[in-house]
Amino acid sequence: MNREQKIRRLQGLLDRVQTRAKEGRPAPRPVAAASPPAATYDLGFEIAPVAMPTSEPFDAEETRPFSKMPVVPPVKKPPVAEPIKAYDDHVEISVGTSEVEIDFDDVGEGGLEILGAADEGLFLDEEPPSSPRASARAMEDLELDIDEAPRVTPPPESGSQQVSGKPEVRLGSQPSQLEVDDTPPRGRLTTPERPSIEMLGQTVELPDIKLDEKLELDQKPIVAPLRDRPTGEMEAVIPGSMAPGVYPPHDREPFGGEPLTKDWDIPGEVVVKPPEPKTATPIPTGEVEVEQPSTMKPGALELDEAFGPIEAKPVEAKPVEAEPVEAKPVEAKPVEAKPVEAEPVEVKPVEAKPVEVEEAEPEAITKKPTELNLQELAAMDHAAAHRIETPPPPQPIHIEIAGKVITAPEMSQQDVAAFVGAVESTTSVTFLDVLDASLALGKD
Amino acid sequence: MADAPFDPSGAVTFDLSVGRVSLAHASARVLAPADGLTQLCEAAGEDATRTFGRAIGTSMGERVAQRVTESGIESMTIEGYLEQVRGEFAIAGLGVVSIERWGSALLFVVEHASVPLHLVAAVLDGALEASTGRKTMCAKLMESGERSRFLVTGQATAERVSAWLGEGVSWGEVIVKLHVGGDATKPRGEA
Repeated sequence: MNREQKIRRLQGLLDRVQTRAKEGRPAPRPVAAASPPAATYDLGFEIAPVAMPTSEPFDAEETRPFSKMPVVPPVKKPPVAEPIKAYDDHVEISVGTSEVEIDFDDVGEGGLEILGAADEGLFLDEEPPSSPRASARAMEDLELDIDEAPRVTPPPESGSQQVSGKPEVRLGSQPSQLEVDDTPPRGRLTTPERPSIEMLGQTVELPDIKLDEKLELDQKPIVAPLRDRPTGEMEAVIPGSMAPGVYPPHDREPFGGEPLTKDWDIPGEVVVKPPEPKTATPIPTGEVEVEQPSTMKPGALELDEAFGPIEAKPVEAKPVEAEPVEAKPVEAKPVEAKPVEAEPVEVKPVEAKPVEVEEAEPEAITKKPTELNLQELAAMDHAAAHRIETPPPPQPIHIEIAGKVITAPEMSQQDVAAFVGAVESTTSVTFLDVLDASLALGKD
Repeated sequence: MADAPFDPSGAVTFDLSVGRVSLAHASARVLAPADGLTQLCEAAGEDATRTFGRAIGTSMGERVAQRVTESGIESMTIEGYLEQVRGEFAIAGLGVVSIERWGSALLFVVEHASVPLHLVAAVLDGALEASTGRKTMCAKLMESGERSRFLVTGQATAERVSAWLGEGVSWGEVIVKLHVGGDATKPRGEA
């Protein structure tokens, strides 16, 4: 690796540091920063590591003015004191924060410029191999840095962006052989193209749509196939009544021998019996010719003899036995109605339970039937109306006093109230009377 | 003739600023638990309890007499007088009072009494004496549940009634004996 390559590598690392500094994250330590100071000498004995100022976060407990106050410091691993292995033949300078200080303010847009690095003898190639633990720590730091690589979603207005994945890290046996491949991976994720800035604000002309045109589908709609409907008559095969599998029905005979009457056996002319009229008809008293109602089909109706003209026989008036009603003769053809002679009811007294039968009952039964006259009814109505208008006659008032009933026919309600009050006033008992009676009780 | 109805409005006054509870036309009162009052009466004895009850009843009777001054106590009906006494007992928290008449005997029936019954009898005595001017002595006839009957009679008769009751005579029979003049203890047919 020549010098330019080293500078390029270093610049790549510094670019990363710059990027992270912009993100507000602490700059990772360089690869060799974790190693103890390389200026070591082989003294034949081990020297405890000297506390050197580092770029790590300072100890808050040491700088706090009130260090005695209970402060819960963040949990972190204590630094492990590593014995320093001294090398006697050369002094190496490693790239670290103590040796190379990089001011981020000096990093301009043009990149990082390293001044005087060559003059001061910065040889990164020849840096001595540090301890295996230090190298492992450096590897951990490097891995940590890689894991924490930013994943930034590019803003949509920034146009086409390229998102690179993690840089490939090739680890060698020595820390110096660490190579970081900053080249973007092959797989590139590109955002879909967006309309350019020139396309904004332009009017997009769409093709004219004619309303009278019919929309046609490119493909025919998929419709479930229709089942073929039978055009003929449907038939219902009664299981058991016909030989199965025989069609049409007139070619077969039932098992019984006689053909069954089906719908297809109905002839064209159908004899329909007209329904009987439901209206109540008056009972004819004489001979009445009943005409057939015209609800039948004309021409197709052939009446049998049973449906011939009906001779209605006159109803014989039967004498009413119980109700003594005077039968009025019918005007057209009066029925020979015999006057009903109400027979007196014979009341037989029961021997076991002697019942006194009033004499009025048989008289009520045997009396002549009453004839209601319209004049009498009008007179009764008039009497009832007159009875409502007139006040009722004064009725006698019965007053019960001390178990005796006194009838006062000519007293009004007020007079009765006054009378009762007077009686009560004379018969009421005061509390003192009762008290005195009770006090007198039991006295000899 | 209409009896003066009992008007409980303003009967009890709670003066919270002074810390005093008082009845109308009466001295200060103390709201005490009934159980404590019962224990106090038992500890004080019957005579002291009767005296205490008479004092309570006397103030009741005075209020009744003052209330019926217009109509007069002589013309008060049984219902009118009962309304007054019933209201006084209810305000005092001594129970519900009603009246029964068994012949000539006048009985006061007290229900839901929360104090000893001899205290209730003493209160009745004081109320009757203060309102009517009759010296009475109420004798407890029976006690059934929360209902108690007291016979209003004189002191001598009350002692006889107590003696009969002590002998096991029922209270109904005691009333009969009082009506027949003490001969009711004999079997019927012998009298």
